[in-house]
Amino acid sequence: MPSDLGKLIRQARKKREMGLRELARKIKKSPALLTRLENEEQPPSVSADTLALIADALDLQVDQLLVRAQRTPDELSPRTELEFALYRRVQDLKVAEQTKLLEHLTRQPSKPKKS
Amino acid sequence: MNFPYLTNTVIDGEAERLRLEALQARARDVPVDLDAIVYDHLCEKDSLIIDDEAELPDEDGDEVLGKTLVRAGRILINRRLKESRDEGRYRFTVAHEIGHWRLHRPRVLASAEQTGLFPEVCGADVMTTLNRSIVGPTPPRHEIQANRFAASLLIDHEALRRAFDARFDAGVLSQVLNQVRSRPSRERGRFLAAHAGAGQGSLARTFAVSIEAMAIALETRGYLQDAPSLFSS
Repeated sequence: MPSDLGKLIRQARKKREMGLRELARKIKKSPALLTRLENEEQPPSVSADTLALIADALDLQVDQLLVRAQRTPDELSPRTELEFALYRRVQDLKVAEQTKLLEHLTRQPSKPKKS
Repeated sequence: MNFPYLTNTVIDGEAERLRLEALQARARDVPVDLDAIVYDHLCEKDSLIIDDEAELPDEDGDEVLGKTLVRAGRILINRRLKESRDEGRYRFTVAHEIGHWRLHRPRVLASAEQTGLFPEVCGADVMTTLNRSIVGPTPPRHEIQANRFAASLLIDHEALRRAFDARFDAGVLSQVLNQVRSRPSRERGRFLAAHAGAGQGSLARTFAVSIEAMAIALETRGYLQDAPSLFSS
């Protein structure tokens, strides 16, 4: 049984009528790796950069792939206790509440971080 | 599991069928586009998973070249083959595993379905290709069949006839073979397989197979018997 990540990649690739070899060329990986990524229950680990290249080639949002690969890019990893606390609180919210919060934050102009 | 005897015609026919299914109008192109067969056809149609950079430790004191995992639907190729950049050996091993995939996997799955036993219980869930399965003197029957399939897939009978005739007309063939007239037939096959004619690459290089694989094809398909008088003293 393929993973959710594999299913999404295969589905998007088929939709674009793109062969394994073409996608492999675009992401500079071997087509064999893609067969494993698409079909294995526990797909091989791939870097966030590779997932970004796949997303770009298949017109997907990279976050769709990251979440299915259960990968957090380095720049999004919490670094302070405050960030950890915020992440936990956000995780505890219901989806509707998270959506509202995101909408709210998106409306706010982002300010540079204070050190 | 005991695999049934298959005639060469059946094996060659299966290789031909796969080439036509996968490559259609390009089925007779040389060299055979093996990547298209694997990635554009078998991986898409049969959901084959291939790992050609697999870590495969030696077994029984011999190098493991590849494995076909029936139930998992996977083909593993020893990473050393890719790393060594020996294209002929890599392609032949992949084609050999495809032979197991096409000739043996359906039989194992059907047998498992009928008996209600998983393939691993039938003893054929994993087919392991040792180096001696390909180059050894007495490989098991299913390995001989996979070898035959691989040679047929990579060296199309008609294409070989054309390529051979283009390189060796009677005069040239006589001249070339005269250089090795007293040698055993396999060696004569190797000589022809590696011989680069005027402005043309060798047969082995043209078909992107090893000299050994081409020599066996020439020997078993009767190319060395075309001019028996050349070998008499």
